[in-house]
Order: sequence, then structure tokens, then C-alpha cells
Amino acid sequence: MKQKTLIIGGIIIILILLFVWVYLLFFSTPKDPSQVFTDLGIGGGEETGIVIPPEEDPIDTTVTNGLSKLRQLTTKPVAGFVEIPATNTIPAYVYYTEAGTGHIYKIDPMSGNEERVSNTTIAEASYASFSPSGNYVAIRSSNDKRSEDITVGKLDLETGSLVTESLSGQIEDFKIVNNSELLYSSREVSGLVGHSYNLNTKVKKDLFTVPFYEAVILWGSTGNSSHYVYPKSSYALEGFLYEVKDGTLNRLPLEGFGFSAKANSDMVLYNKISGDKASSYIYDRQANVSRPLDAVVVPEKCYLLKSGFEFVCPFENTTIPFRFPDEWYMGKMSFKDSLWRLDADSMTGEEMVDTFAESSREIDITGLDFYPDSSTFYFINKNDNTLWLYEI
Amino acid sequence: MKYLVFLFLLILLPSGFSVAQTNLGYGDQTLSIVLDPIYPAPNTTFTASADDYALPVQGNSIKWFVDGKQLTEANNQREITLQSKSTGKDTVIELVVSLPGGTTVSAKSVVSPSYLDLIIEPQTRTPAFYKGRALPSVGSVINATAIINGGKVSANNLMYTWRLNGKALENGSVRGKSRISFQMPQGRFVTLSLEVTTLSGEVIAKKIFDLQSVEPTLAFYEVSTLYGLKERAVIGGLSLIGNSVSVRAEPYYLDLNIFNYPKILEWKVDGNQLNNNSQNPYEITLASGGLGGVSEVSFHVRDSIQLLQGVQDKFQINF
Repeated sequence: MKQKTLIIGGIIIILILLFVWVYLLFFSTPKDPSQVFTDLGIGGGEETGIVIPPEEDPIDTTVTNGLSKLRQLTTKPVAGFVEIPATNTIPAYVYYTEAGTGHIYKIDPMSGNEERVSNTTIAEASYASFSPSGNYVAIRSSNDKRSEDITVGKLDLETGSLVTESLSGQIEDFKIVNNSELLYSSREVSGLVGHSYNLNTKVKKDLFTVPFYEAVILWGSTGNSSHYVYPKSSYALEGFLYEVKDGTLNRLPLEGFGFSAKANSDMVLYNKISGDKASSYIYDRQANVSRPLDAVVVPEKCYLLKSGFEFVCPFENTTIPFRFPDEWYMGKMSFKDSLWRLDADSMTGEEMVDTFAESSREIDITGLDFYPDSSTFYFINKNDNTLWLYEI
Repeated sequence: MKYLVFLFLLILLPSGFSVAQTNLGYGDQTLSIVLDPIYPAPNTTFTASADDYALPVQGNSIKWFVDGKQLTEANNQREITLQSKSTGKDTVIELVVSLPGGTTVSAKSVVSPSYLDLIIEPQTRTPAFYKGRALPSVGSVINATAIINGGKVSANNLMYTWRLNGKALENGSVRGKSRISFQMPQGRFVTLSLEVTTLSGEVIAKKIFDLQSVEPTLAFYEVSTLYGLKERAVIGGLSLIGNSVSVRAEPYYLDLNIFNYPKILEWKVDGNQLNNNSQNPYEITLASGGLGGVSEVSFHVRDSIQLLQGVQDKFQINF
């Protein structure tokens, strides 16, 4: 009996060992594919059990119609642009003002076909702002004068006729913020004064006075909404952020050397020098708390939604010089930007497109704007002022 | 009898000594609260420290009260950290120190947070397209503007005392003087301070900071007849495409008076001074003349009296 038990136990053990050996031989995976001794040729020559590291999925840069998501729209330098959303019968178009001439063109962002709609010349046109409807455009004629008269034009989109008038005054900065209102600043004895100009009624109104001149104004969506003001940025001088509402400046608790900012009702994205280098921060206006970003972005290049904590920023992973942003303003340095979508609530980011990798062009993104109807970002390349788009 | 005299002295002397101790004045003038920063901005963290070193004896307990409520967790702490409130909202801090013998001394401080912003606007050269702020250079004129709480507090009813390197500008306090101009003195840093008080002398805000001066720096830009000034600086060299090119020299941070009326302004090509017929002396048009090669173009602008008000630089042109 004892002998019988031993024999049975021995057979069981042998069977177990045989099972394990077979399993290891045919189904186990060596850690290093080079450790495979031989191919037993099971299943038509496929090598089973070898792990091939998966390829990283490339960022999808094509749209279904075969066009690249990132495209250069113009070869001409551009002073300003607007996308007119598509209607049921008419596709979306982009209107832009050609730098240097002031001529206005209409371009199909899908086909690239363009036609000139206005040949009215504004010599040395350097900056233009369109109304959302495209019916109005304001153009500065020279980048060599700090303040001057500007040309305001009413554009008939069907006939292409442009009826212009001169808006006089020591106008420094301007923007058409809706289909009836142009906001602009001018130098006066009391300081930099913000004005509203009704494009239909031609009525001017004073909005606020900033008691200094070297100011950046972030215009709101109407003359009566909040605007933001801060002294022009320099690495060696301190700046402060003010919200302007109902003609009154309200100091926000943000300041620093090399200060620049973009703001909406929920947050402020700002830069300042911290420890001898530029750093970026998010300020939560409700919680009254600032958090640093891991990377340095340039707030004035970014696009913020009107509310919330999501924003899109151009970004290059490069060493920011000590004298920043001064050297960038001087044109002594430029960026090769990627476009990133960032969420300040979750403090996460996602790269949308690496423009240099996609285009082999050095694109320093400025004037970033987003049109939700077409889910398209438009921007100007600071290096040559050409107009580009990126479809998301 | 002598024992009676001895007993008399034994009883009275300690009390006399006690009276003498009281008359040394433990009062508030020997105990104070030191704030850091001295004038906290709104919604910022600051510290309040007990300065009791002038007391003749050491206290045996310290109590802190903020807006009338005792901070029990700060008992016997020499320093506490607090958060200032928004503009217009005061914080009352009281410090009570108990001394041996049961007496107490106290000190009080009221923190009225205000923003005092000094906007520095140097009157030095930057091109019109430049989006940054000009920087001060030695000898340049600086405009400074003070803004309290975003301008909500009118300057007309306040006294302003501006100091540059400790010396009062305008010979002292001036009512309503929220803006001032001064010439940047020698030195890499200068200390600018401003104290703002009410008409009765109560200090509202004070700010001291170091203002850095920089040397003027030169950048060259191509000038296009169509587009105007190109905003990319010439770095290293310029290639002449076509028969000619116009170049503008921009002396950043040169005092505007010197920029407009320079005593020395010259262009040189390969060391030879050019007669510049351009309407703008800061611009030059270079033509190849049908030849090819490389030349060095240099520019120099300077004042003959303020020698630091000047800059020179060069670039190569390939044609």
C-alpha cells in the first residue's frame, strides 16, 4: 500500500513538472526578446510571446478632407484679421488687412483662394482691428509713431467699398470690441485716457483715466465692462495690475518686476521675475490664491476664455533670458512655439501642436484668437507677420 | 532706639524702592510693537514683534490681542504672524506684557493697509513699436507717479515727501505732489523713497526701493519703404538683397534730450565716416555700388558733457 502511494505521488509530481515545462516552453515570455532560443514555428511563423514596445501615436494633424490642421494662410504680412463664421449658405471666410498697404483681402481658409475686397491704400499699415461682423475696420498707418490719428473704415462686404474717416487724437492703442464700439486710448495731460467711439453714431465717450502713460490696456468686450491696466513690462521695473470698472481703478493684489498679465473674471495669468528669472503664475480671484506654473509662458501671447480656468498658450521649452521680456520686445530673440491647452483648475496641460515640427518654420505666435464656430485658432507669426491657422 | 531706627528703615526702604521702580515708567513708551513690513499691503502676511528691550525688568508673560480678541495660541510668543485685511479695513493689535510684581504694560498698533504704487517712467528712447517700458540711464530724466489704492485716495489732501538717496526732493513735503521728476544720479542703483501722510501728519503709506540704471544699448533694424521699420533686430549681420538697404539705429535708453540733440552722431563703414544725407540722422541707406563683399557698419551717438549718455555698436553687411 505504501509503495502504491509512493508510485502514485511520484507520477503526479512528474505530471505537474511536465505541465509546467510545457507551459514555460510554449506560452511564457522572455523579458528580453533576444533571449528566445529558437522559433518553434507554431502558427505560420509568427513570433509569439515577444513584446514589441508600442509606437507612440503621433499627434493627429490631418483633417478628414486631407488638409493639415496647421496651415499658413497668407504669404503677405498681415496687420489684422477676423473670421466671419459660416452661414447655412456661405462658408466661413477670413478678412485680413495687408500690412504696408492697408488693402483688405478675403480668403477661404479651406481652399486658400483669396480676393482683394478693398484697394484703399493706408500707407505703412501696421495694425488693424476688425469688428466681429467684418463691417468695420480700424487701421494704424505707421509703426514709427507712438500715437497718431487712425483710419476707421466701414466695409461693404458685397461690393468691397471702404468708406473711411480719420479718428483724430494722440491715439496710442485701439480695438474694435463689438459690432458698434471702438475702444481706444490717448495721451492727455491727466494721463492715458480710455475712450469709447460708437461706430454708428460717431459719439465719443470718456471711460477712464490712468494717471500714467506707459500702460498696457486689456480691453473688455464693451466700453462698460471691466478692463485691465498695468504698466508696460520690463525686467528692471515693477508693475501692478488694476481692474478698471465704471471709471475707477481697483488695485488687484498682483505685482512684480517684469510683470505682464491676461485676466478674465475667474483668474489672472501673470508673469513676474522671481529669483532672478521670469516665472508664470495663476491667480484664482475667488480664492485669492496664486499658484506657480511649471513652465514659463508669455501671458500676452495666450488666449483666455471669458471665464473659467482654461486657456491656450504658445510655449517653447527654452531658457528664458534674464532681460525678459525686454529682449523679446526688441526683436533680439524669438520663439519656436508649440500650442498648449492648459487647465489652471486641475493644473494639467496638453500639447496641441508643435508648429516647428509640423511646418519646419520658426513660428513666434502672437495675436492668438479662437473662433468656436469653426473650432479654429488663428495667429500671426511675429517673425514675418504671416497669418496661420490651427484647427482643433 | 537704634533698633527702632533700624526697624523703620527695614520697613520703609523696600516700599520706597518699589515706588522708585514704578516711577521708572514702565508705561507704553518703553514697550512697542514692531511691524514687518512697516506698512503692510492689503491681504498680505506681516509679522508683529514685541520690542520690550527698553523695559527695566523682563516681563514674565506676553499676551497678544487682535481686534480685541486674545490670541491664546500666541501666549508668551515674542512674534506673531498675521494677515492684513483689504484696503480701508484696519487691524488693531495690542500687546500686554506682565511684569514681576503684578503690573502690566501694553502697546497698541493699528494696521491700515494701503497700496502705494510707484510707477517709474524714464524719459529715455525706445522705438514706437516697442511694447515694453523704457529704462533709466545715468543722467536721464525720470518721471515717477504715486498711486494709493488705485487712485481712490485723492492726492490733493495728502502730503508727499520724496527722497532720492536720502535727500529730500522739492526741499521737503509738498501737498498733492503725487508726481515728480528727477535726474538719475551716478551709480548703478539709487534709492527712491516716498512717504505719504495726511495733512495732520499721520503716515498713510511709505515705500522705499532701489531703482537700477542701465547703459544705453543699440539695436539696428531694417527700414522698409512699404512696411516701415521691421521689428526684428539685425543680429550679427545683414545680407543686402537688391541694390540697397536702409538701416535705422535705435539707441535704447538714451535720454530723450540727448537723442533729439546729440552732440556726437556718426556712421562709419569700415572705419570711414560717412556723410549721411538721410532726413533721419539715425537712418542710413547702404548701396552695393555693383561690388560684392563684406563691410562693417558702425554707429556712434553720445553727448559731449554727459559722457555716459551714449552708445556705439556695429554690424556686418554682406553684399
